[in-house]
Amino acid sequence: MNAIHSLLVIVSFILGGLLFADSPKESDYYTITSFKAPGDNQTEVGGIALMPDGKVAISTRRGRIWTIDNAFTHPEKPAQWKVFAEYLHEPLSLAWKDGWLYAVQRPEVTRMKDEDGDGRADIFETVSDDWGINGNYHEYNFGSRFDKEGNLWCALCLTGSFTSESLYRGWILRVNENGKMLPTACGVRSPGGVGFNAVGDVFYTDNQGAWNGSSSLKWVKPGSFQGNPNGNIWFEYAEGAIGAQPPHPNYDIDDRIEEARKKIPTFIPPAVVLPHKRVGNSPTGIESDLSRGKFGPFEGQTFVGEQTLSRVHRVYLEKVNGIYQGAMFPFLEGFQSGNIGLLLTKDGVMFTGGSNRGWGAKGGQPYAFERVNWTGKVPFEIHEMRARKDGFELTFTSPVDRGSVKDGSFSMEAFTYDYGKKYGSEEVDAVVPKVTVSSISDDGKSVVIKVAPLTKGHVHALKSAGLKDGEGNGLLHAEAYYTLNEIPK
Amino acid sequence: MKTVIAIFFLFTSGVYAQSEKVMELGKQTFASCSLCHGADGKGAKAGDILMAPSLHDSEFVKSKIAKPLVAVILKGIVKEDSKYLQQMVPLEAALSDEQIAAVAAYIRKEFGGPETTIKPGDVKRWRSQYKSRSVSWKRSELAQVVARAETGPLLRNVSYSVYEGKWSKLPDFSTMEPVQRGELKDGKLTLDVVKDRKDNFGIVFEGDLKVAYTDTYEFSLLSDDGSALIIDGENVINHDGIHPATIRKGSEKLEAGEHTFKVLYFEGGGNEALGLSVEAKKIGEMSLSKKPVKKSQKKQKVYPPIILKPENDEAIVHRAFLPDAKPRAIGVGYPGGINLVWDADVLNLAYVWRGGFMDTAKHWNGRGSGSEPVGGPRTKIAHGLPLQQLESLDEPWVSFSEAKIKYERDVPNPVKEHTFNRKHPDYQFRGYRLDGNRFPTFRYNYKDIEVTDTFTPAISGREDALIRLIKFAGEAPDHCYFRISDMSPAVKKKDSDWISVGNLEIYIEGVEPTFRQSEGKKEVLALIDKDVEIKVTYRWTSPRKEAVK
Repeated sequence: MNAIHSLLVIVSFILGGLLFADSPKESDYYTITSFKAPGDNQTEVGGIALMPDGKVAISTRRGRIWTIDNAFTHPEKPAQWKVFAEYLHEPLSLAWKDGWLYAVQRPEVTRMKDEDGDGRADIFETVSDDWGINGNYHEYNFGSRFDKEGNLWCALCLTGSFTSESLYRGWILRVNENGKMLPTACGVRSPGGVGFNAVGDVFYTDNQGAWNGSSSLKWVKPGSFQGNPNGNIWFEYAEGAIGAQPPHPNYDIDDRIEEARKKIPTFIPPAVVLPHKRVGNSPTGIESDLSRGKFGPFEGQTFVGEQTLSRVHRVYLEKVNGIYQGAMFPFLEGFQSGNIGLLLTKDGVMFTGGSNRGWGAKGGQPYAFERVNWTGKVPFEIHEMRARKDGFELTFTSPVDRGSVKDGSFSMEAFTYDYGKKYGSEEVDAVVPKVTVSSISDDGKSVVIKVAPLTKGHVHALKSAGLKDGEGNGLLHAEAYYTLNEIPK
Repeated sequence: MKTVIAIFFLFTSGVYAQSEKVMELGKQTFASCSLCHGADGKGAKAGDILMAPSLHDSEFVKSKIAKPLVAVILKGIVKEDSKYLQQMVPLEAALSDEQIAAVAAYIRKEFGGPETTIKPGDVKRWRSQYKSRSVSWKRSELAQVVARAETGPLLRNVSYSVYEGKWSKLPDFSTMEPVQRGELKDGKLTLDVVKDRKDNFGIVFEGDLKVAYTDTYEFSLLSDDGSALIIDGENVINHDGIHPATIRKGSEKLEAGEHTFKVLYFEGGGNEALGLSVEAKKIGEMSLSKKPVKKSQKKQKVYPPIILKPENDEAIVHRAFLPDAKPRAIGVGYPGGINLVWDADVLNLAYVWRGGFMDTAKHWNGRGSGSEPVGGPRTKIAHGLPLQQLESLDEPWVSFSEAKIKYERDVPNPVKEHTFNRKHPDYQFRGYRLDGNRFPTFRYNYKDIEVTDTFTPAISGREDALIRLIKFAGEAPDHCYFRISDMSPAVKKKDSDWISVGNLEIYIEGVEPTFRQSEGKKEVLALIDKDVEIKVTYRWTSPRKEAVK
């Protein structure tokens, strides 16, 4: 009996070991390579940009801009670091255009050039400083790269994250290379990044706080109101650039965005809520995959940095009834510090980096600069999650095991958040919809589920714990969070 | 009798309703705390770690005195490890006395602390006690805050006797008859009790010294003139004789419990001062006098300095929030120890100084509140917008561009006026260009003219100097003046073209300066017409105190 028992233990160990070894993990598909700056230099990365000569430029919160050669081949061919500029004022974003490196500093958008060819910038041109700044540390300024029309978008944090004590605090502005500034959207609280989706529409991330129940990815439709009314006093300076000041939200109750939208026509709801605490606490940089498959199966999708939990999220966006919405999926964790900047090149290589200074991060290191490469293996993931009038269509990166596609493989909860002046919100108005399988495509790569009820304005958190691929593996990430601003007609 | 009962009833129900209201306010206020500490006070999870510690185990929550908890709420806690994701930030600016009192009461009631009344007045007092403290608490200090709060006042039942006489050493007061006696209500030693006396008097303070912990206590006695500290009849500090305000220290091991103390003091002539403080491991430092012993307590720096120093004959151009300038400040440190701040909000030089350049410790730590020039002193030179059209020389100079707007947070129809910096529509900052030594030339536009502003450190005669070249390209509008200085006295030195201004002398080339007195200031102006170039040499009038290598 004892012998048999021992044998069983051994067998189960071996099986366990095999199962463990086989159980897919993120690093099978995407690897993270960490860089170290020369000497004891820190790299509290804010912005990351690709230079035309193939070097990668990073800006740090301490104001230094490095150019890094061999950033794609490190460590096989070691990275070569060079200081391009120093002591700028917390430059959090970088962009390259027509021979100039643009940095979005706290006080201005600056463009730099190395004229004498020593590798260091010697011309610093102020492109625009047409907004207010009062010395409060919270008045951050995040910028995008250039859009199709040649504009760089800046998202200006509120003063102290609650009030708007300087011109255009809580606004998003567009600046072109000639310095023309165009006020573009209002209602911002505390941004962490501005970027584009695959078709070039502009999005920014806003952090949970007052008038912002959860952190989210928001669509910057020109003329839109993003929810926090404190910056709206500056309409009298905007000279009609985005029309009249929106009506006030209700200051006295915990409202819902869904209700407030009815009263405030320009209120654009968060496109994709990144449920606070569940997936992260502080979203940052935004980059979309334009690599035509070189970064794996997620071409055209959008990636969002996460500072607190040291992660990168994946986002699928679609437009329904004229409004952007979509799903957030966990993508990759285990970064060394709090991710701020993001770059995803056309060659399918992602760079990220950040800092935990002032705002803690799970990664534990004070700063980091890292590269993400796709290993060439395709993870079993929900590829897209599309809203239907009575549920969702899920597509997959590889065929599902048809046997695993049954009602019990799915579970869902739906919830929303308070919309009001208090700091953040718990999840409220919880609904537990019933999920039933409607159909499965012949190729096994698409499943339609019926969800009853669908709740307009709610985050629909789907867990597909029972799904398996052909090899019996579950989804690499079973959770998906779809923000249902609109239900398709 | 009926009336009395009715009044009593009203009174008690009033208190009850109020405390319920306080708890409600506390609960509301706690909502933002709960994001990290959790609604249940057990710490909110972020993945598999906690955002902030559980309040149930907190010594500040459990302390029989509310003050340490309030101290934490006011000032926050320095992040010394990464056990938790977040950092307790100072909330003194965000929360009112009422909110802090309510949230502290709520936290103590809900999460296992003793139920004590905390009045907004208490918070107000503690707020003012910690007013000069600019940094968060270290955990080790907080333990001392708890110990201090639980100890209570060290000096109790303090009485004083005032004597008259002219001495050069402490006399034997026991043989003399006091001219005045009294008691110190708060036990804090002070010369306020002899406000009408200036010279030739003595005071003996005596009473109980109660310590809660057995420990070695180091006392610091500051006096002008002589003084002594006696504990349990033993002389602990002898600081006798005629002398200016200096500190003498003495240590004594004290058992927990009651002791007696005496402070003897005399004042001959001139200034007078008296202060006493004590320091021990457990309680940290406590002042035992109304005026603290360290008259100007230096701002406590949590961060070791990070000094930027120009090297290799190159200047450093450092953009950060800097003191005495608007937020778009640019610090420039030149090799050789001449430094300046050029203010891109007002397109002008803000100030110059000699010596060390910049400490970035506060800028590069925490959330980044700005850098601090390290040398000095700083000389402000006409800080403000540089150009103005003056129809008459009686028109005042407008230094800063500001505007007002009605604004209150989360209020639909605000009534309060808020003043903000507004970019002046006539100016546009264009940035700067660095030369081979990385010396910047600042560029800006004013109306139709392009202006460049360049500085070069130099030696003039035997003194430090800074040469400034300002070029105005294009045709300036009518009556357009550039302000070179707003410092007194602004007079030409005898037999020379140098003009004395403050601790500098300036020498102007390229234009004929216009002198005027405006709004109590002496101003040196220059009329700008077409394609003007002005060279101004700023020269210090005294040698530098510290050499910069």
